[in-house]
Amino acid sequence: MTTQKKLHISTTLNGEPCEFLCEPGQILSDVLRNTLNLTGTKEGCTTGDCGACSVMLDDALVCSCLVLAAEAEGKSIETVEGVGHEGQLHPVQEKLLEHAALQCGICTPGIVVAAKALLEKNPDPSEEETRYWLAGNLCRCTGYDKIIRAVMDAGATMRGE
Amino acid sequence: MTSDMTVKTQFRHVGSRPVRPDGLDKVTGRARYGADMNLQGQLYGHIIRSPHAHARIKSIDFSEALKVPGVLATMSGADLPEPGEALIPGAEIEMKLKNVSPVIMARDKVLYHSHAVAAVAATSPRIAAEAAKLVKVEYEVLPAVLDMHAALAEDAPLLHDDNFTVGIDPPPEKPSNVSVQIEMAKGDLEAGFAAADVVIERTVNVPMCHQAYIEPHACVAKADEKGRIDIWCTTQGPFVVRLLVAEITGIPQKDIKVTASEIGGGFGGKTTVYIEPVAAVLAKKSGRPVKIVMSREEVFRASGPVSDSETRVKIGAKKDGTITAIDSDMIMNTGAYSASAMFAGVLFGTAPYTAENIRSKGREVLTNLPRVWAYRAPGAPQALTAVECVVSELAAAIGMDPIEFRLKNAVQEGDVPLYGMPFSAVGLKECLQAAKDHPNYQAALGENQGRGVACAFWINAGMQSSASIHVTPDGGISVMTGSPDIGGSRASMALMAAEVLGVPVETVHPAVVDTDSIGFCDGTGGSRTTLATGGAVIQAAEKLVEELRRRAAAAWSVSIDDVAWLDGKAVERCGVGIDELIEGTSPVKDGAKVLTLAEIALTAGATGGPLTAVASLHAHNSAPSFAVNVCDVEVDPETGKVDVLRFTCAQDAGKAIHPAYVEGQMQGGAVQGIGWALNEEYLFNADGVLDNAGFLDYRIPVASDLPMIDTVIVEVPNPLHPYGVRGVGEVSICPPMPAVVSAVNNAAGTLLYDLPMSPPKLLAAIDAG
Amino acid sequence: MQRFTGGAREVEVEAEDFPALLAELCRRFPDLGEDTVRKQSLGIDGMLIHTPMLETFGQDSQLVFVTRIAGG
Repeated sequence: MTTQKKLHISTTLNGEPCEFLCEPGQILSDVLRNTLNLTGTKEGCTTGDCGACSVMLDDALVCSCLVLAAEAEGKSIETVEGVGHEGQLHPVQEKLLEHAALQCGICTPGIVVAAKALLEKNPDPSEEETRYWLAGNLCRCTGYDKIIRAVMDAGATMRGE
Repeated sequence: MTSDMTVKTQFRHVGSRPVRPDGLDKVTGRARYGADMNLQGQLYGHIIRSPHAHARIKSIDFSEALKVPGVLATMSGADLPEPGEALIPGAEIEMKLKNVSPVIMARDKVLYHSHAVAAVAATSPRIAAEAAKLVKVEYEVLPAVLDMHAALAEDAPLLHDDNFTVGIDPPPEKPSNVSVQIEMAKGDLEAGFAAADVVIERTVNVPMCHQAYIEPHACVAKADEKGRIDIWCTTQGPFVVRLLVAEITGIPQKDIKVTASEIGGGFGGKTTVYIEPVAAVLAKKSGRPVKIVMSREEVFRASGPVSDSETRVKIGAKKDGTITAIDSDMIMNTGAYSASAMFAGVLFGTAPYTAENIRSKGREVLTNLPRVWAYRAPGAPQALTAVECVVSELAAAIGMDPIEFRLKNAVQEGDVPLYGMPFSAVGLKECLQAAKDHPNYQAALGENQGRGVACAFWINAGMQSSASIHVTPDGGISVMTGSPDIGGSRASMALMAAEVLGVPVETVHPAVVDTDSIGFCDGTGGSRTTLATGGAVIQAAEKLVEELRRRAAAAWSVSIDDVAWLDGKAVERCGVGIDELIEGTSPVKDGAKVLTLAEIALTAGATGGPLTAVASLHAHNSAPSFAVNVCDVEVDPETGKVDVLRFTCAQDAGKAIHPAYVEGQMQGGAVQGIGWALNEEYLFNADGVLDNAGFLDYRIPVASDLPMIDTVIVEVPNPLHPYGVRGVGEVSICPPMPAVVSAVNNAAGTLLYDLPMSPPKLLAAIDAG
Repeated sequence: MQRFTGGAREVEVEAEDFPALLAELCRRFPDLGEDTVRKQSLGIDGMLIHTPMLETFGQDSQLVFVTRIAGG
């Protein structure tokens, strides 16, 4: 077995400077969870199919299991732990709770990150736009009904309605 | 045994929709699931799996793997005690250890592709994976049977040469691949069909699928110097894990503690173990904690998928809509070991109907595929899909509305289903009526659109539960149970405790605790948690109220009978009747003494010690649930793609403790059924290798596939439960499949009963027209 | 169970409790065997007992043996 030298990576993580060491082949979700102890980012497949590991990399919504940790060099990462601030929930988080839009909750961090990204890009999405945006975030418990309602309601709140 | 209990109908908290107590941790990412636990010095386990569907294991050689720096332990089936013919004591249903233990680690033979053969533990996941490749396993490949018909063939290769079909009289002399068969009947089938004006017979195939919980199985086990094992894992039942790890490894239950993590979905699939016994053995051998996390691919290939079935159903009806006879014959695939829910299919497939003449047969078939396991109302969706599709065809054949047809045949209180126990008050007719009254049922259908209706039944379980309540010195309430919260049950526990104690629900903090910290609880399954564990919470809260009244009585030097408990306060009765006080028909007397819960709690140390109450029970008060779904679809005749336009669920919850989470169960079950009907199936190649072992190719419904799922909660109280609860988790997956299938066939003008109704299959059926 | 009762579906039994019921059924149907009976759940006047052992019955209690079913 070959041992590979670890790489030294500098990033901004949830608004704070963050440096870590990783193997060249290590995926970002693994480093977030197991090196940086940010286990809010979930791994449901590690093949980019379930969306539970959704994070923002600069302005892009990505599956962190499809990104090599080394690719984060010089970039800004936002995980679910960085959503909401100073003890205040983000409207997406508030509305997911209010609408009972989670059951087991394993997909919820990915939904939070993805829905926040949607509303920043499109403050007033239609139901269809919301459904297509979240089509990459699998939820096996809820049938999506309450999630879609919560995200659209969060949009209304953010628009001041 | 009869109960003279009254069912409560007026509630302060029950029936409201507070934010779930575990919600903040879940929306912020703080909640800790199976794979989120790491222990200092932990090793990583990696399981070596069979590349063959059927083979004899000739040898396993770890020597090269053990040379890799960082590899600290290995194991194989030789490290587990031989199961013999022993039954697992205290298991939910009769289970032979020899049908469970070899799933964890194969013994002399591997019986399906990816069957666990050996394991290594190393200091990193990468080293463990590399070392696993160096474990040399020598196989003698055997011919495999990869579907039920191949397994039933006269000269089929046998999985188990000691399998003699149970349920045949006289017992067979030759072994076979049929593990068990059963026949249930009532009335006179021939006379029933003779009395029918229309008889329809169909064969309905439901594919093997997977529960597809998003969180893979994960655990960490550690062993101390005295051999005591501590396991953290994602499970529907920490006590089930304790039992099975003990039985499989030979470590006594008293030396095992299991802590259930937050659980990322289970749907029945996490009511057993796969990796926990392996982690326990590796931890014991290495002296280091061992973590194992299954990959998604391993979950698909090597956990317990869901039985496929083939059911031939023949039903006769008179022109007036009366069903005169039902004949059903089902074969159900159990994979490599007997574990299917065939009995439930045979017993429950006809439960919605009053028909007097019924025969229902079933056989469970062994194949060289993964051992199946439970999925939400196990066994019932397959059987009900077959019956309901034929019922819908019959209604159409005699020109009757499908809901009217069902109303004419629907069971009610006093009717006796095939399984023999007369129904108490049940809500099937109410659900049918609710579905009929829903605006969706009046919506006009356009070209290529169709509507399907189905109803369904599930028995619901009771079983054992424990709860413990503690009061903080300032009046906060801790409620502890051993039932993992898979869909919001902590919210229900908090509501029920608040209801009894008369305190704000926000002051109740429910928790799921480890097996050392609470009395025994059966697993979260069988739709039993709100009924049974909730029942224990209610009982514990009632005991606590009595203790609080006693403390107040002592403080006031009066009899406990002179103290009422009202809205979270002890109130001196001063001669007013307790019922009058509770109902508010008589006000509290002026000058009556009052002590709040917080005031009593503050002085608890001086008045008898800490305020705690515990309750344990074996719930015998479960009651069945019925549900009705109406589905509208549009079929694209060019591509065979199906769009679900509208979906309506009516379900009898008995009493919805937290209605939002009851709706969630209905919506989630509906969408799982939609997926099973339209998309989801296991695809094996000719060597028995699963071709679609990932979420890209095993496609569960995504948000853009679906409309909103409309719900109507029907509440016909369970007469045996203090709040009328029935249980809601499972029946929801029973009606969607037949509702979708009938809708698609109506839209496309087809009679396709080979599920899933995927575009190529549906297109072929349309073209065959 | 019917395989062991000569086809009988319903029987009248005098028994105050489950142990007495078990003894009487096994006396009347020697092929039945305690294990076969114990594998069943028991419905007593509408209550479903998953694992009966010490249950007591009323004068006219209606008892139904139901194949034990696992949930999900």
